[in-house]
Amino acid sequence: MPKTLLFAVALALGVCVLVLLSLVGYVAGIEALYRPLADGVATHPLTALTLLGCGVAVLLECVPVARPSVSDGHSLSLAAARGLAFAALLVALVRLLEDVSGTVILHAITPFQQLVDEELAAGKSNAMGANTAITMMLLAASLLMRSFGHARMSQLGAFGSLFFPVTSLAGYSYGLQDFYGEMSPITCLLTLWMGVSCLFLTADSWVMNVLLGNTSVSRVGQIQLVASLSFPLFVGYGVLFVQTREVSSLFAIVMVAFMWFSVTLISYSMLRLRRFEDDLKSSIQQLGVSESQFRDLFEYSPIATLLLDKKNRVVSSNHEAEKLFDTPRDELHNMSVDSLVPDGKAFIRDTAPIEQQAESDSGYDLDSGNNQTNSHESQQRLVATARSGTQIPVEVSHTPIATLDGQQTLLAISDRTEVQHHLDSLERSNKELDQFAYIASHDLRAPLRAITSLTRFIEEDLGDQLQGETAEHFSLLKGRVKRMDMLLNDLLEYSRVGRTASRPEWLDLDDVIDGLRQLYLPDNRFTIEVLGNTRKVFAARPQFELVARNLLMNSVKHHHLDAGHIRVWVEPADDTTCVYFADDGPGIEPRFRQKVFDIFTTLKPRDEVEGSGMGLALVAKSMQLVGGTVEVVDKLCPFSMVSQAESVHNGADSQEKTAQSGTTFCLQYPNHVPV
Amino acid sequence: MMAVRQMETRSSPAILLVDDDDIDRLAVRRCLRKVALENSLIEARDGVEALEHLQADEGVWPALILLDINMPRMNGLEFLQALRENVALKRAPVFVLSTSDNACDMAAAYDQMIAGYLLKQDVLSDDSRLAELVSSYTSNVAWPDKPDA
Repeated sequence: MPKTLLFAVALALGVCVLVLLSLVGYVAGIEALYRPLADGVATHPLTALTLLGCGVAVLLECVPVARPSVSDGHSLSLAAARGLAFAALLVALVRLLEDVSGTVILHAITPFQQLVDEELAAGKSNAMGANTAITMMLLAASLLMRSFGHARMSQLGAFGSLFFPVTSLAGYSYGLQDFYGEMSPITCLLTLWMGVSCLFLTADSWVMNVLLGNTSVSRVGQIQLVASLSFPLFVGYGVLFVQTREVSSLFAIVMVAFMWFSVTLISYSMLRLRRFEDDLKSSIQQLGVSESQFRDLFEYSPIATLLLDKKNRVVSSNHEAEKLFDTPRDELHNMSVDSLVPDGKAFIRDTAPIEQQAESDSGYDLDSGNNQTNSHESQQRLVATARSGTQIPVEVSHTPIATLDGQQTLLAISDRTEVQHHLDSLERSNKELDQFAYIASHDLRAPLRAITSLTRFIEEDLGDQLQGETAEHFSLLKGRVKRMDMLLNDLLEYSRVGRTASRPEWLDLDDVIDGLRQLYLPDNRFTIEVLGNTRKVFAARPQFELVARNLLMNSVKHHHLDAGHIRVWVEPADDTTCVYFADDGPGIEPRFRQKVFDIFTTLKPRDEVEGSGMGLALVAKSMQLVGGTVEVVDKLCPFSMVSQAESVHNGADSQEKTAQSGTTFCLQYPNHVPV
Repeated sequence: MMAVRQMETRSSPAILLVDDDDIDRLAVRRCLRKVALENSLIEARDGVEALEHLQADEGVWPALILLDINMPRMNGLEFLQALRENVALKRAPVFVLSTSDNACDMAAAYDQMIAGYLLKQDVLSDDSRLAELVSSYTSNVAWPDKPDA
């Protein structure tokens, strides 16, 4: 149970005990218990009862907090608290109504009414005044609001309820009867306690939360509140003594009004200050979080990182940097970057920081055609020097960052030793592989040529004597030798793909296809046409010619008829260009569409269709080298729908024709130079 | 009389074939047999052997050299370099006769002032092409004197 709630309960208990005491006074006829000053103002029985109701309601509302485990008891005690508060509210309202209308309603239910009547007849005062009624009403309303969860309304009500008791108390202390009227000092004190108790009930929200909080704003608020409440009291008493108990009501009104005004003002400013304080706190917290995040990122980064000042001296370094340079942190401090990474200064001076690089590198500049200038590269391969003098191949990049000490530079240094090692061995094995394929096909061809020569010699020497089966075997022998020669030739070409790199340019598709048509499709059995509006491809001419030639030869070689038609068209996308080659041949079954690009793969026996199975492998390798792709797709030429439709409706063999919809190859070229 | 003798030697220069492949040499010999030049053919199996032939006391001169590139001991390009550096032999006309269509090989050979680069797969694919070329060359070209060493 929180302290504030305990306080509220203690106040409510005190109220209950004192009220019960005054009620005992009525029962036992002891006047002093309900009228503390002889011939003074008394606590009316109804006032005592409503106060008792409020006090018990406070206690009941605290039950759920005190014993959170009993859930049934909660709703019951809460309902009882609401009932009591509502009854008190009702009594206070009816009393007000009586006052306003001048009728008498409550006499019937007022206990000890006879005693009260007698006292009134004796000229003594005993009534529940309008002030008391309003105070009780506000108290009851505050409790109701609290029970329904409206903490702000509850606080407002409780705050309002404090007005009359405080004013009356001021009246008593200054000796101004106008100020307390019919409110007895006991009632004043008890309602005051009740109000404070109600305020403390909602101590965890709104103004009370701020005032009772633990922050510096709360402390300032508490001090101000105590000062503004006590100052008028003391001044009042001071004036009282000086003026020998002749205080004008105006002075007292000003004092009370000032007090009330300052309490309201303080509460309001506390609220605003608290909000401001909260914002400040969360921003400071965020700052701390980002600061520690940056520290962590920096320290635990897997890449050696140095923070450099304006003169490129090391301000701080992370764990990886210590490891890389084999130098403890405090020794790295203040070292010049050039002694760690020779040319580091020049690198930072001459190259763009990494984020600018990302912007400038987003697209390939077609006009300048030259994006390989070093000044734009933000990453550079340099050599770092460890303490022992060991040279370490590294890749460095730099980023400017703004700090409290001005502009500094973050230098990331990644160790490339392992990468370089792998790169070297990869390069070596690639070279060896190329060399192997080249030499193998060369050396394999020498004996093959010898066989060719010898066969020819024998043929020539035998002349007409070569007949029958022998002649047939000779021709088979020559055929196989020729096939072997072709295989080796294609293997050689495959190994050569990518040996010479040339820069891509925007090629005119008609131009390239015309050249290929004249060279490779001289007899007009196979026709080829370029369709569509886009007729440009961004590719290197030798590469595109190689790929196009192999696709065309593939279509011709595997066509089921003696004549055919090949359509070529281009579909540009955002950063790629797709070139389609569609033939009207037998097509490729979906399950083989990946396989056809493997080396030495043919879908038919070589005796049936003479081929090495290298053509499409060559296309795939070549496309891969330029950062593009090649695949067999299900796509008909969008520019020849009419002829497609015609062929479908073309009589009896339409079934066969739709089944043999042909093969469409899709070449996807990137519109930029591959990295 | 002296002049006539000289004319005679000029009309039938030696043909020095430098190749390590027996069957290629056989093919060349068969070619030359067709144009009756077989008798002027001298064979060497690598650059070292070829230099020995050229530098012998009764050295072969004038000579048309048919030179392979890929050979053991001293390959064609090394032989060419040695030949061009040799004061006595540097004028000899050389045809490279190789299977290598490597651009680097070709460039290196032409840098050494060869008369021509012949691909075996072209000129040896039938008997007549190399035979015609050699016979036409030897009968039409005027030969240089051997410089004094």
